Amino acid sequence: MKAIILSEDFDKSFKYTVINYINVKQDSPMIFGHLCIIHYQEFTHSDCSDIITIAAAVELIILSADILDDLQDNDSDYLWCEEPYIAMNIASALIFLAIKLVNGSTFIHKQKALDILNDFALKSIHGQHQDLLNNNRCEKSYLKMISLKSGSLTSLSSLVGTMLALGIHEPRVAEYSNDIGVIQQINNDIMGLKIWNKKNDLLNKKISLPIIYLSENSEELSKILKDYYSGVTAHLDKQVFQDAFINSGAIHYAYALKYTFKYRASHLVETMPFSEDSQKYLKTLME
Amino acid sequence: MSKMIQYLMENPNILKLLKERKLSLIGVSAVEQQAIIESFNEPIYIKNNGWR
Repeated sequence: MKAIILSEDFDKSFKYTVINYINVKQDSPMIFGHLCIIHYQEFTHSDCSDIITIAAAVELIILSADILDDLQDNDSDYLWCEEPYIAMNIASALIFLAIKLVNGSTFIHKQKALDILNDFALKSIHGQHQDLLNNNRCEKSYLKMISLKSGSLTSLSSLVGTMLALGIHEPRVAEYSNDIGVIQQINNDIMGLKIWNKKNDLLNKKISLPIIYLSENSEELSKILKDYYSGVTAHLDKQVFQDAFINSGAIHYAYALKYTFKYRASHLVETMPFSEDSQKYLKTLME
Repeated sequence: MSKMIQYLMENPNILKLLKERKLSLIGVSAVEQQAIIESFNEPIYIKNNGWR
């Protein structure tokens, strides 16, 4: 990714900033890029190195989404939150750079891959909008939202690789990839309640599955949550809610939903003509 | 799903029979039932460290 940035006609300040942003995520497993590569390779049985550039393009889209998400959450832990106006500009550039990379490739089906990239990026942005409104307070609408927001990004990654390989849409890939995104979001949601600090989803009045569970299954806690979320009260009892998440079944509920997606996705992956290693890798993303 | 989880939390004897495959849940699919069992099979709480 850095080589791509360095080769562009940007001034040093711009390149330096983008590379610093890329460095923030240098230890991340680059799951989205790998999904793109794996699907291309499995459908073509080719080691074409050009797919690496496309994988980098996918990761630039993801980095853009990460930056915008952190700015929206006012998450001050990351470099890009230090100068939000710069970060917003960079985030938009990354999207166009990604499109440029796909368009500039020699793949026969690059236009179809670009269509996928556009469609699924827009779905994800749509989901992000719903997430920002924070109105999805029942299981069905919440799962629909995270399917759009997170599932679309994993689907995008897999389907770009698939489309470049085959030139056609493969619905099974879309489905299990979407499920992987949902699973990872549920994992994030569970972790978002674990630590009682400024990032805690409950303290930040976010909605997630365990919170939906408490709202639906405990009249007493539902009232406390309603008052807190509407600003009538300003504090929550940490011990009460940490105990409630475990002892009421709220966390079990989130895990149970996660496992329904995991079983469905796992079954679909097993129907694909993929190597054992690739199937194994895809299944690790469902944990 | 949430009502089913709540019911099992309130009726641990039913949960035990479910885990032992001595009964099945009505109104959930086989996949959902297995997901529910698996969610109760793993330890959620790690002492002094919150849940996993």
